[in-house]
Amino acid sequence: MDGAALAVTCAAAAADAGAGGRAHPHHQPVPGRQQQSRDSPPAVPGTCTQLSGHLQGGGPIPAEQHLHIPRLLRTGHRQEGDMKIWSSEHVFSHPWDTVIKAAMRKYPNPMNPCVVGVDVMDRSLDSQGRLHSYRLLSTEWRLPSLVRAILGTGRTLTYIKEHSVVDPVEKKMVLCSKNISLTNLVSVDERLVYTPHPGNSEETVLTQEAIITVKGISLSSYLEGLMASTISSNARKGWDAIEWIIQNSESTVS
Amino acid sequence: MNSVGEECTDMKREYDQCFNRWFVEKFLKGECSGDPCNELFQRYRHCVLKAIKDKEIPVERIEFMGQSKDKPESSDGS
Repeated sequence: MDGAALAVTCAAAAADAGAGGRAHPHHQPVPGRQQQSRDSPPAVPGTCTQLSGHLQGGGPIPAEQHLHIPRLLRTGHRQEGDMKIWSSEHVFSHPWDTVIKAAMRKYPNPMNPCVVGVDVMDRSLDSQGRLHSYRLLSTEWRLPSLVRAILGTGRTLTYIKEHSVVDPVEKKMVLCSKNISLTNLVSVDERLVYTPHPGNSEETVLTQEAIITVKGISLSSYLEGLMASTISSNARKGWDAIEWIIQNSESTVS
Repeated sequence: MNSVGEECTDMKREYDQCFNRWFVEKFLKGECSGDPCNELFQRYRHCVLKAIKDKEIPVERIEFMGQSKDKPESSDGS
């Protein structure tokens, strides 16, 4: 998630359970880019690599700055619970380097106040010169009282594990995240890929996917509704956060 | 930004500052030699891993992106 896998539900918080939209009708597919088929088999949560297939398209994409709203690609019913896959694409009007600098130091930012802690657990360069970072994000949920009552009042601090790989030669950053708290209830796997715009090196494309698996019967429809209604606004917050970091770090040592 | 372990926050900030500088001024420009932040990182990491253990956060349970088959080789802390 871009950090915030659980930010999908994190800011679900509050009041906006009724806002936002499920399967936004105005999403414009990017010409020349292979879109994930609605009939493709569901990816397995927790295995980022299995999601990489549709991200390799290379055709021109429009230079517009229209915000693509995440849309529901597929709802599956698996043994362990109901699964939804979300996908979106966003174009930043900044070069890749600038966006990556911001993405690496995205927190804190005013758009994601629920992320209260970020730690690097491990970090290393691989043989190809790519930088791997394993981070732990601490997030504080502001859940509606109903959910809080069910989960217990002491369980609002949750954790997300994140693995990012930055390839400075290929100019590609891949970031996967997954919640490690409350996994008995819900599992949110998110994958983000930042690459230079194939037609304009002054722009950066962010492709974003989330797989949400809700477990159990009693909570599932409620939580699904909550996520469906907030995933759009949360994705937008992530984009805004990157922009905010860029705007606010120009005068400081990045 | 804070650390999961309160006692680690100062170390984290010191390391982050070093890392961010290296990341922008060296790594993104293709200069990967040297590891100016490793000492800071090891000190901070020791603190964080202890905090994670003390709080019983199950970080080991989940692996990403073929972690086992494409294991990073060096322990470059920067």
